[in-house]
Amino acid sequence: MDTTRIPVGDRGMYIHIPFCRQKCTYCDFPSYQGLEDYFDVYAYALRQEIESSQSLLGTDPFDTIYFGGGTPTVLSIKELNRILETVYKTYTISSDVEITIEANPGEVDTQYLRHLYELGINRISFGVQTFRDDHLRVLHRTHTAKMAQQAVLDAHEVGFRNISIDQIYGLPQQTLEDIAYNLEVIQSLPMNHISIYGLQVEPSTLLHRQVTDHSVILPSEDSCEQMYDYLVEGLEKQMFDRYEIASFGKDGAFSRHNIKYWHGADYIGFGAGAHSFVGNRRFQNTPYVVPYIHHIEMGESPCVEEEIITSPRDYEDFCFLALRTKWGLVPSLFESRFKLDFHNIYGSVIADLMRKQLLVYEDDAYRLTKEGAKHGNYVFSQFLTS
Amino acid sequence: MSTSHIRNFCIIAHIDHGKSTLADRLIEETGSLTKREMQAQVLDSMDLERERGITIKAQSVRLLHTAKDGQEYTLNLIDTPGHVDFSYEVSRSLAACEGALLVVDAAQGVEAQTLANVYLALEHDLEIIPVINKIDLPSADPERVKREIEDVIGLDASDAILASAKSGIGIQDILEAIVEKIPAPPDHSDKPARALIFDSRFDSYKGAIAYVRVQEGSLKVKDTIRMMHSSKDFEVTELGVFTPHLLPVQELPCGSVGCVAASIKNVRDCRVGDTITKADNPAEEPLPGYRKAVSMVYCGLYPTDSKDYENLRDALEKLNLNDAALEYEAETSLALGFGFRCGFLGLLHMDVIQERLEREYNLSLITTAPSVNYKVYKTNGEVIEVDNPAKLPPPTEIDYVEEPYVKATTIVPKDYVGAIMELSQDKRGEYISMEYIDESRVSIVYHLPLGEIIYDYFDKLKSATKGYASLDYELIGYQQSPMVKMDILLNGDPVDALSIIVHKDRAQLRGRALAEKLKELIPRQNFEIPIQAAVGTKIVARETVKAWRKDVLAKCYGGDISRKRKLLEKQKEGKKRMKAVGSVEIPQEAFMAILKVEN
Repeated sequence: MDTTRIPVGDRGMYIHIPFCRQKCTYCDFPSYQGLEDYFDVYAYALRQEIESSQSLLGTDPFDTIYFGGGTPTVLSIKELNRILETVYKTYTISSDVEITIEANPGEVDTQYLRHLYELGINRISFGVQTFRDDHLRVLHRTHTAKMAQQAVLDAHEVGFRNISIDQIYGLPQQTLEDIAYNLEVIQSLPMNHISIYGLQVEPSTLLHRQVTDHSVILPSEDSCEQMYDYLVEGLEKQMFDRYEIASFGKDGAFSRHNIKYWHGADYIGFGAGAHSFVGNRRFQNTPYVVPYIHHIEMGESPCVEEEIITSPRDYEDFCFLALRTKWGLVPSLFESRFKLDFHNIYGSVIADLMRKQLLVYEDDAYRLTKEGAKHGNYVFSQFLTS
Repeated sequence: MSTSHIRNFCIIAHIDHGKSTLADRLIEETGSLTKREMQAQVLDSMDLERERGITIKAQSVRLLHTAKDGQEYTLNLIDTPGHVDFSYEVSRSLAACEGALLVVDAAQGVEAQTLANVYLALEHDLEIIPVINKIDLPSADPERVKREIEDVIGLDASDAILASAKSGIGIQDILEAIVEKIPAPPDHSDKPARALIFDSRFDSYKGAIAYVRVQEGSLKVKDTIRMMHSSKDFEVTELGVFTPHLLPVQELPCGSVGCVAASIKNVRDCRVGDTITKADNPAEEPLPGYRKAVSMVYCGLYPTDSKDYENLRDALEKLNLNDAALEYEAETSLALGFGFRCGFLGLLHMDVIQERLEREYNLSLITTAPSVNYKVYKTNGEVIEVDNPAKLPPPTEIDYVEEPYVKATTIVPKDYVGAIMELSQDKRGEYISMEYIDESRVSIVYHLPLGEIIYDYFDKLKSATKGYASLDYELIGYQQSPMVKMDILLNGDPVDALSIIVHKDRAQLRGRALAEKLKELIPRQNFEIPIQAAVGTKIVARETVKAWRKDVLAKCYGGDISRKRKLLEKQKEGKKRMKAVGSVEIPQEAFMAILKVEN
């Protein structure tokens, strides 16, 4: 493999829609239920932000647009269309652009999906965490397993050829049999991308309270590890290629947008809570809907946090992010980007990790071994020098 | 100037019987400090002392008191530590006094440490004034406490002063009693100067500062003084007394207490216990010192980061100036690299030193499990002392081993006698005697191996008696015991810093407990780590730290890289306090694991 050909592309655009019909118990992302009254005014503010940022962002092309959430499909086709029109009107968009939208099964019918596809959206990612109804209910998902399967079939039917789902392992009461069942369903569906996550109990979520008062019992660490192993192996058997620690794609169906996060490409986020990385700046908009709208209305920047990424943080970030993907950490790319001697800085770290069989060196790049992927955080943390 | 208007005294009290509060009240009453200047408990100046409510360092303060006879007296209060570990410091302070206030809590009565310190004071021929403190407590029973003082200590308590330092009751009576009862220091102002260094401190501007009691002659600014121990001469740059603020003076006359600065650069030239005389008219003999500190507990101190070795050495040297009881010498460990073997008066002393090194000198340290000093009689007739388990010769070279024993006196309410006996028996103790102090309290004496006391005896004692017991112990000598070395192997390799010396019959139990504890403390790593406890080649216990678990795969929300990074930083931070020994990463607390095991 030619490692210098990491499919990073141009810059990416992220558009955040912070609304959900119902908040999932484990979710601590900027997403709110019960704010239906704000949909229109939020979408309007969003378009204003997209337009008014033009002078700052210049004319370099974007080759990915990613509608994330929350649930972007709570917006009407008309509203999504307006947003996309604004984007096209304001920026240079590559002809082969990848446009992804996150969607909730059960909230999108065939007609809606068809309209999405007609808008030029060519990739859809369904939040299907499992195909067991009892587990879906515990998580406060709004759909059933059957609706999820139907959504994938419908999307395929209307023309989507890049269909992704999320799967979470380590759910309350989940067993290895459930994972096996999920794998079976996956095999039967026309999808070519999967992201897998372990259920994490984040502070200030409903799940956290449930676990604390023992109304929800999580599987043991041992069984979580078994589920992880089973899932990773099962997907690989189905010819899914693990191109990133948590992402699997068939026949090169990788998320071009997400690859930008791992390989140091620029991305611009619009909307409440959206993150951006431009040059050496990482910045973030306010995660709250009303303050976001207010900032935009007042003609102010909604950005509330900004960090200038200087050395050594810039090259540390570069290393641990690159190691997440199958393209790995390429010393020559490191050296041309930072004008530093890679082995001078990381020689001993690399030697130690290779001795522990967590890293391998192949085709001019360092990559995680299977064991390394399992203990990625340990490997990554070794690249923090400060 | 005559010595007739000087009184030098100290306060003897059990922890919590109100010594520091009384000292504060005396300072306030004599107007040395205004109320506004009073920081609660002025004498406990080290942060650590105030936090732990204990007094570690001897300090002195000069009080001016106009007595009923209308004359002004200089009262020098020399503070003494109350904890059993620091009886050596007490004896230093006592050598500078002619009298002592014996403070006893009106509710709790005489405690084991009070006894020990009173006997020390009597050895120094001090005039003792009993003070019964906290008489305003609802549970106060001054009459019973008076009887105890008479029965247990053998002092006349008929004139005991009833006081409450907290409420200011009896403070004037105490000041009068100091003037009336404590003898003035003998006037030897015509003799060649002799001043006893009872404490010292290092100041980065003034050099080493000696706290002295002038026994004979006097010291003046610009005098050339001679340290009788090292025969080195220095010119006095500054003399001072504490009010408790430092007040510079031109002269420290005979009988007075104060401090001496003389641009002494090297801390070793200002040894506590040494005598200062004058170079132009030297005294013939140094003053008799006092009981030399005996190290009871030893442990290894190693910098977590080997680059800090020099800093650790400097810090120990500086601490040693203020704390002559601290002993240290360089040692090397295969596991931990370069460090120091340190000797302490007891476990609290060890804790205090370790904390001071970390806090005041900003060092990150690894402390190995404490050990006592064993006498090893070798088959070739040689006798060696071993305070580091790693240095115990192989069994084939050992004829027999002797371990230090202490006489431990515990005073406890009679309901807990059974608990004390059980605990002492469990710790290989030998019952000596038991006496009733009054109807409800008992004094029990056991002979115990010191090596057992330094593990968890204090904690066990406290929990077995709900904190009612007080303990004092003194070294009484050595007894032969079948001691063996127990090694700990991690991943098959012995880790010298984890070895302990243990009684043969207890090796298996303790080995199991230690292996279990280590299993808890050593975090999972990317391979399985067998933990073995071995005596010689025999494995007595085995545990396994399983290989680590996988990470949880987390969603990367919309390119939020900062969140990912924070997680990694946290993970990295956790690793910092680990020491890599061979291929195994060991957290600091694992080296002290033996102190935390349940037997």
